[in-house]
Amino acid sequence: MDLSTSGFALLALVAVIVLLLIYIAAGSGKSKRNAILIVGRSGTGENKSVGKTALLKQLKNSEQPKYGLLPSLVVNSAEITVNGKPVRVMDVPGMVPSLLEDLLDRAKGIIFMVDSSEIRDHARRDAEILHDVLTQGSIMKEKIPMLIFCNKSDLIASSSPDVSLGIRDLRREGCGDAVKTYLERELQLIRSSAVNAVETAGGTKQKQKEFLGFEEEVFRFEHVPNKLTFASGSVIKGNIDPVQKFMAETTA
Amino acid sequence: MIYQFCIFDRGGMVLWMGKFEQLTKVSGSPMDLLVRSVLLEDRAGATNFACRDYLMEWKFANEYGLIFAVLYSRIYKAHYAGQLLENVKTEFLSQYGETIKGGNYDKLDLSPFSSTFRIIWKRVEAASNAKPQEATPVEQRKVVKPITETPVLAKPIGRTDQAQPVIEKKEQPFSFGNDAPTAPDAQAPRASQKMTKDDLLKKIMARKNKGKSNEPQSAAPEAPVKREKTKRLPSENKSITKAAMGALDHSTGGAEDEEEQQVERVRQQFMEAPASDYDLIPADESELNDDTVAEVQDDSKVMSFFKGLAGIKELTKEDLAPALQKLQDQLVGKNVAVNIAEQLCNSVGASLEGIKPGSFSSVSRLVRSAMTDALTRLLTPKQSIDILSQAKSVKKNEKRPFVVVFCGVNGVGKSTSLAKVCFYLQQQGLVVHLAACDTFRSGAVEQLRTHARCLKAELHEQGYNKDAASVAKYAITTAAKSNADVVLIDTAGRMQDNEPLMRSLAKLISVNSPDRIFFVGEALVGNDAVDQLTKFDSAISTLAPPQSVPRHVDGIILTKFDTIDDKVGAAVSMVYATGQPIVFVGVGQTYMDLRKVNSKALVNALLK
Repeated sequence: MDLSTSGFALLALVAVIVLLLIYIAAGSGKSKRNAILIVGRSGTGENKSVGKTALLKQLKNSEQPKYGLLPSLVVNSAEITVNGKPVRVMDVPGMVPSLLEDLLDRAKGIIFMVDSSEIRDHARRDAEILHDVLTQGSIMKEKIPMLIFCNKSDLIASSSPDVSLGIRDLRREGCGDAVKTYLERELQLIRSSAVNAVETAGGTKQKQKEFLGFEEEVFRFEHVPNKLTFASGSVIKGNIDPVQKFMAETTA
Repeated sequence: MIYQFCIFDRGGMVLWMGKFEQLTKVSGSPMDLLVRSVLLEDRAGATNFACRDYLMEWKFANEYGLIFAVLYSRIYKAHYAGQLLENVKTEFLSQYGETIKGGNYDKLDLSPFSSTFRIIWKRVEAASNAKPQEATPVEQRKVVKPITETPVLAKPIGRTDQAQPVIEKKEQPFSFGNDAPTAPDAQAPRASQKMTKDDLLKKIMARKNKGKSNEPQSAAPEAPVKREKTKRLPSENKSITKAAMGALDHSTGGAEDEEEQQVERVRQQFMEAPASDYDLIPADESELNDDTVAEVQDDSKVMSFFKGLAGIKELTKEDLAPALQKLQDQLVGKNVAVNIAEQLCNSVGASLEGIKPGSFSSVSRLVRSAMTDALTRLLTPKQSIDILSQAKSVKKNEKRPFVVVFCGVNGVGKSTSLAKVCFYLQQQGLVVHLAACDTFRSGAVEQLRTHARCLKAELHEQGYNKDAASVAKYAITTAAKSNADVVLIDTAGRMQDNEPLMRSLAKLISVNSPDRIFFVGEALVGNDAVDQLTKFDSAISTLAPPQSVPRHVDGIILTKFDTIDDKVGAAVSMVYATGQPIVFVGVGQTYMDLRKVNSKALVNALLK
């Protein structure tokens, strides 16, 4: 009787230790960069969403939910198989910017979503988020690759390159270039005021922010050490090849 | 009459949706609006939400991460909406609950649910028709119509039990006393809170009526308005000659030496004094707090691991109540307005009800971490608060100066904040002009002139007793001609209940359409914060002349932030009241004492 009780106790102890070990093993994996993040601003109403959750659903199910989508309240996360390997993809709600900061430490690749049909009106907000993402401590230091995915290329007529804005030397075709120029212009402004911003109260523990690009020069995306890819497509039309290519490259 | 019924998860995927009637006069989706303005803003403790001619009610199934929402007409109310939500939730979860808990339900075909829904709907409708419906006055239903374009929520007044079906509630005669919580010890402090809430509700209702019947207010309310105006002017002004006015008006001349001395004094005070080394929380302390946050996160991981092993009971309203009450007291202790603290706690409670806690986490810890999330989400600005790049962008793209109006109640530090912002923008190489539109309080123009001299900024002023709107107009035109980058407009301090003055502020704003309207508030303010801010906000939009674009407060400047230690509650109250971010905080006397706030540090200070 005594023996069996102590035997049980021993067994229980072993079980607890094993569980703890499993937990620690699982926990240590958490700090690694093991996820691809989908980041972007929040939409502005019906059919005006940028399409982050839609992209995740498209990757996961190769189709859109029958009854549509609403703004996300929490991070959506899914395991997606790329070249036979599972990859964690996380969609960060644009309405909850406070979530982004912690998740960036887990990013091994970032898909930055832009609504190319509305880039003219929202370039500022897009650029602000992009600036935050890029200047977070380690994103540039560790050269985390980034895809700037210009969604809704099917509606692109509304964002044709505007000559008056000096977009003449476009090297590639497609809306990626217009988006690039808009973002560069806004990032230039944001960068200068980010450096000169007033101090933050209680910000002593804030992560050190990096300077984007070179101080002496007008900002260009070429100044960013990360591998940046601009590509366009349409989630709704199922045209997300650049995303799949990016994921394959990142996980390889 | 029911228009829409929607079942969606927290990730934003709509599982099932029924659209039964065409919506009119609504752009975009009301469900979208519900998520944005209620669920994301932590207002889910309220009973319902109004969007134009429609009302929405919702119910959480937290253990499944689902939200059920119904949209019905405000005029032909569906009194059974609460019961319908409850029945649909029960039926839906019994059918699909297991699949949904399994996690992979993206491809679940829910079109067969449509017929089930129709059956439930018919049944609930029939049951409610069978019972004689009592007419429920608006006040009983606790609905507050949106006064402004941004929807104002129904205040969850006196609502103590969310789980209870709404229909049951309606049958009880409404009274605050009846509604009191069961715990006798909580009764005493609650009763007093309810009184203030009752008052608040009445005020809101009154204001709403005022806003509705805009013009034909006839002579009766006009009379006191005039009286007040004359009362506030110095009595000699009634019969003064121009010369006498000039003598009185120190702003256009006077003893130069004296003024020089004054400028020198202010310069010493604001520029040469050591800048405040204020910080919200010492570095080591905030790091300490950071650890606890991390610990909580780890905890939840262990928790979810063991959750499967032990069958733990779902949290009920009663389990959560003591922890929430404690948290609410703590928030109130940190100077959060009482009704705001209560709404926040209700919302956090609603989001936790029904989930299964792990064996290792106490309820209070769970509540605390949910509140941390909610407050961080609330206090992190959703829009940019970087006025520098906005100003540059406006100047560059539109070739006109960026115009900012500062408003607020008396003596909160509008002019000082304006001078600090001016100094900051000048430091960044912008040309800033000031407009003295406080043409009311004697000495205000001189105060601003002194600042302008110290800062070497150009001041546009026309002395006293002028129409503030036209002074501002003139200042902006002149500044545009001289190629200024920014115009900062100082306005007279006014109490939020002073309608004639609020009307003149609304006029100033609609005439000049500034790029930003900053509300300057004291960090010391307690329960009044919400009243001040909501009244300013609604005055700006409702008292504006007809056919002008309705405007709102775009940002908040909190002054005297260095005096409050960790009682940072006013920040929460003000952000919650309008959803607008805190752009700057003032932390001292000198021009350099302007800061931004870190939302995480604020949350730490609140929940310490």
